[in-house]
Amino acid sequence: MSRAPEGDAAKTAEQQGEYLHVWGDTVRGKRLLVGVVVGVACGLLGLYGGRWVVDLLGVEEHLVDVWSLITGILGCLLAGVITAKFTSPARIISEDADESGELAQAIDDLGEGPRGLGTLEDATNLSRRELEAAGLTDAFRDAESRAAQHGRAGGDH
Amino acid sequence: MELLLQDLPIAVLMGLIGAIVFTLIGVVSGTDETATIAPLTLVVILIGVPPAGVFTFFMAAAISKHMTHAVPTMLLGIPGDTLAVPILEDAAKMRALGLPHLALRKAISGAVISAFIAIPCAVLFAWILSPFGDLITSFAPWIFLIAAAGIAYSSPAKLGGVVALVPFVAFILGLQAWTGSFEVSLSISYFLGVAIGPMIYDLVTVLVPQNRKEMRRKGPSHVFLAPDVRPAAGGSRSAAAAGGSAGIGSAGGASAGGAKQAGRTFPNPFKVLDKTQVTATAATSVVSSATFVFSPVAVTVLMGEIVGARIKQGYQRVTSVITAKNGTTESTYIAETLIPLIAFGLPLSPVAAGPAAPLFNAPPVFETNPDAGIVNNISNHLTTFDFFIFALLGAVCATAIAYPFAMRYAHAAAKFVVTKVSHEAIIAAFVGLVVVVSLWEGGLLGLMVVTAVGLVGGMLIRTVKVHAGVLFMGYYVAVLSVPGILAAFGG
Repeated sequence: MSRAPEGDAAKTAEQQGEYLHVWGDTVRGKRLLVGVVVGVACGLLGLYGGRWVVDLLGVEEHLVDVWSLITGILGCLLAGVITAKFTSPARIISEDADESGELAQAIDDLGEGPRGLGTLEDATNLSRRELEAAGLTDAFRDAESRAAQHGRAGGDH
Repeated sequence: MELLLQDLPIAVLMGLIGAIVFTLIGVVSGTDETATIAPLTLVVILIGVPPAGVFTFFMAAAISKHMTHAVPTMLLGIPGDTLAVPILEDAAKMRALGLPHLALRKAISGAVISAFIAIPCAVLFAWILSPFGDLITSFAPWIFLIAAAGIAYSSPAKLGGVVALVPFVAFILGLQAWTGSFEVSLSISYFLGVAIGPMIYDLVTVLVPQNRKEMRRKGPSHVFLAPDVRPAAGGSRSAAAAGGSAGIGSAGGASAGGAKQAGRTFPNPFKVLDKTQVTATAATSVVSSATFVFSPVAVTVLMGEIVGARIKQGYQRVTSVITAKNGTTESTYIAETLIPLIAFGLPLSPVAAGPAAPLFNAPPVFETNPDAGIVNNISNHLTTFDFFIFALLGAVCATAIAYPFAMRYAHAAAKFVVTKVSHEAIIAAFVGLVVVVSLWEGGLLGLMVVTAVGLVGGMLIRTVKVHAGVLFMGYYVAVLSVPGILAAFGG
């Protein structure tokens, strides 16, 4: 499965190079700006609006400050919800398990380093069962053969 | 004992609340421990929850988060929080094999076992160290200084981290003097600034046209969400209905179709892990419980290296390393919280100085300033036995909530987050949090301090490669070591 955000809109954004890598993930500049504004506005509303409401409710004076912090944090959560409503994630999500050509490489990569790939006989029963259930036993056997040919089977060798 | 029984109901309640809230927060990628656990612990303290409830809340929160942080880390390849970063490479190997769900279940099971081993170990180590508590307290300014330098050196920045500490400490001292001239004293704003520094740094960086060009991407990020595959008896792989998954151990007898429904019994970590993995997790939990002054990230990496170096077969190695590493994320947090509290009553570890900071400083309830002779924190309100019991209670709450949730609904939760929650929304919530907490603590001065500390701290984290723990210790060097050392020299 492959899911692109907002179909044509995503393509247009891609053509325009609108995506930015900020704090570990991609965002769209204008929507990030709106999100930041919403975050600040909801935070302020939660903090000061909450203080005003709590004051009106006649809560003890020393607790007004604490409750305003709680309403402020709730405001932040609200900002997240609002922003999530008008911005779809700028991510392409793939669930395709099409690993042809990559699986062998992935197993070979496990053998990188001084200990090598080893052999399935070195693994515990549970690990062998897990690989068997995942249908990977043959792939590991093939990788062991490749490693033996290249003299990097590791383990006891 | 009577007091303990009296506090038990509120402790159970707060433990359950902490576990539920942080089980959900843990699923959201990038939610730093200090930026999430510290503010909510502060709220719990300030609303007047008794110390037993506060401590149980904190422990349940930290333990739950370090279980469910494995969900985005293993399934999406995005670190759940700071401590998930050392597991990313191993998670990628399991994703490449198409087995991230197995990696996830092993990681979480390792966390459960580690939590229950680390608590008695940490209490034991604290008990051994506690006779030296007064001596250590009198040398606290020097110990903070040495610990900060040691932690900085053990970070990827090495000597550069030690050098960078000097201007950072001077910067904190300057900000304190400046806010002090307005009779405003801040603490939480500094912690929040450091924790959320990389985000503030990126938000400022993106405003610079030249930097914006470098941050521009041609398209959205590609996230591989592995299907929820479970083992089938026929040796083939089959996708299960989203939302339901049982551990490999409990699913050992999956039907030929592989579509076994989610287990209704409580998952058993000893069936998910083999003896090698249980032994590795137990050993690394004990060892990492003793290394309480070091960075949890560095200890996690080190424990993974030690375990990996002893295992011959590649698949056995990567699964064992993942299990031990995630177990270490629990044991370091537990030990780095419990030992400073029980033995010293001072925040003498990166965790105590960061995520657990409100347990030491939450004015007007708690205040810790040994230089001024003020040590009134949660350690003054609970005995060693209380800490042991309430820490165990926190672990039980976390295990009861987070473990079955992550084992059964991890895939559905990860799918929801990655498909429904935009990164803009996560940033919006955190920007709001920065504004709220800083304005609440110090008004406009608080906002300026959190922005300045965030920008400078973020720069040091990104460019000098120090981690946040180094900067937390830098803060304590500024507020505790420098005045103490100056006083000792008659400055």
